[in-house]
Amino acid sequence: MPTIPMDRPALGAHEEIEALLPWYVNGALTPAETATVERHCVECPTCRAELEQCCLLAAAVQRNNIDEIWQPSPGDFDRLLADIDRLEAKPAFVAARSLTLFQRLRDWLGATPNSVRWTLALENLTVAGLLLAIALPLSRPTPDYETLSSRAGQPVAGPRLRVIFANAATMGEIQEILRSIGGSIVAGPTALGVYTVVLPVGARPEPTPAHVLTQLRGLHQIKLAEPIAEGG
Amino acid sequence: MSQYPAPSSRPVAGTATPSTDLELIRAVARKDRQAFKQLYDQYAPRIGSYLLKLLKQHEGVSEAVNDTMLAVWQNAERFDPAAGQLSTWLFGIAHHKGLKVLWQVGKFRADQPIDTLPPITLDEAGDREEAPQATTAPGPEQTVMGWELGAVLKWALDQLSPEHRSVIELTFGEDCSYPEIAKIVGCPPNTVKTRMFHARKKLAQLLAQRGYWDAAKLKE
Repeated sequence: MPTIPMDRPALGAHEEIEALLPWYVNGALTPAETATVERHCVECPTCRAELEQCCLLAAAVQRNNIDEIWQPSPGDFDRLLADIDRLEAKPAFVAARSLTLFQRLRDWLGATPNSVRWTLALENLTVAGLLLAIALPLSRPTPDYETLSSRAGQPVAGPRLRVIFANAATMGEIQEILRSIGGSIVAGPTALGVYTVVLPVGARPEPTPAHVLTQLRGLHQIKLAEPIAEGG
Repeated sequence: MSQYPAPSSRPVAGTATPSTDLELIRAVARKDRQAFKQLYDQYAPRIGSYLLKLLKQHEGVSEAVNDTMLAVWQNAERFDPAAGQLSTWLFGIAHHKGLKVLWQVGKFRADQPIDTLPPITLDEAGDREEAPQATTAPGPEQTVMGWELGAVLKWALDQLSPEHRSVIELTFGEDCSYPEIAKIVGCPPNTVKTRMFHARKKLAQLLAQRGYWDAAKLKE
């Protein structure tokens, strides 16, 4: 029997085929590989010797395996089933642990009665509204009420009159007079009891200051009615 | 492929008995416990015998077999028949479970490239375990089979690295093709061939050291 070269040079055709010999022995090569090995072995004594060694090794390993068959113990499968039962009992708990906060909140809400859910929703909406109002103070509307001393609320246009009402004039009478001329009190009373009344602009027909003054001076509830000059 | 007898165990609930590997694993994927029992009886002895060779000890084999079968139960729906045979898939899982056991007991270091391991020197091999010795030169009867040297061969196989040993066992013990072995151990097919070459070389060195290699050569 020739000595089998064990130091492997760079793989060539011979080495490639030699490397297939163990699987030629166990019948696990493709038909094409099998044919290649058989053709090569006819001409290659080294591979024939290798083939023989492979056959001997295969026989020895198989004999060794027959002597050493592993068999499961009677309780092994039962233990396996017990492990499976344990694992399959866990998933709900494990899944709950792995849920995100949002998922857990959604699940909790899903299990909550409708009435509680609506109450919570309204509460949350209210809180959200308050937070929004605090966070966005500039968006709050300007209050409707303004004091007479507030300059911002005063009309900037329109003729102005200086008026002193009679002491006996009632609130109702004053309101009626203002309504008849379309005017508004924008300042007063001063220490002398003088009110500033501004006449409307753009009303149709637009009352002229002279006409209004004539009307006012004819009323017994008016003690004084005078125009205020522009800028004055 | 298996001639191992099925062990008896408790009956399990299930449906009709599947006849092929594919039907069997699909039934397992549907959580059919009777099919799972059939799969276990059919494959556990083969997987266990392979793991016994890989681990070189009985300790840990039962656990590794059960870990393998548990993984099969949990992932049966992932088996792709187009990617290979069921046995290849099962042995692939078993192989990695076996390597995990070896890592746990510190007998295998994953960071050491297997094919660059220093060759076993004869003195090292002799120091590791009590090696059987040929008390007398083997006669023609002993060398007829050349490798048929049960105890010595077992000792020699035990000296190989787990990856070299697994290639030998899967080739000659399970009749796997080299592409199948590549899938099982997770390496390219050419690496399987290279591992086989180195494994046989080391076996030859070890047996020659015990006197059996020369005897085999003298056969001719």
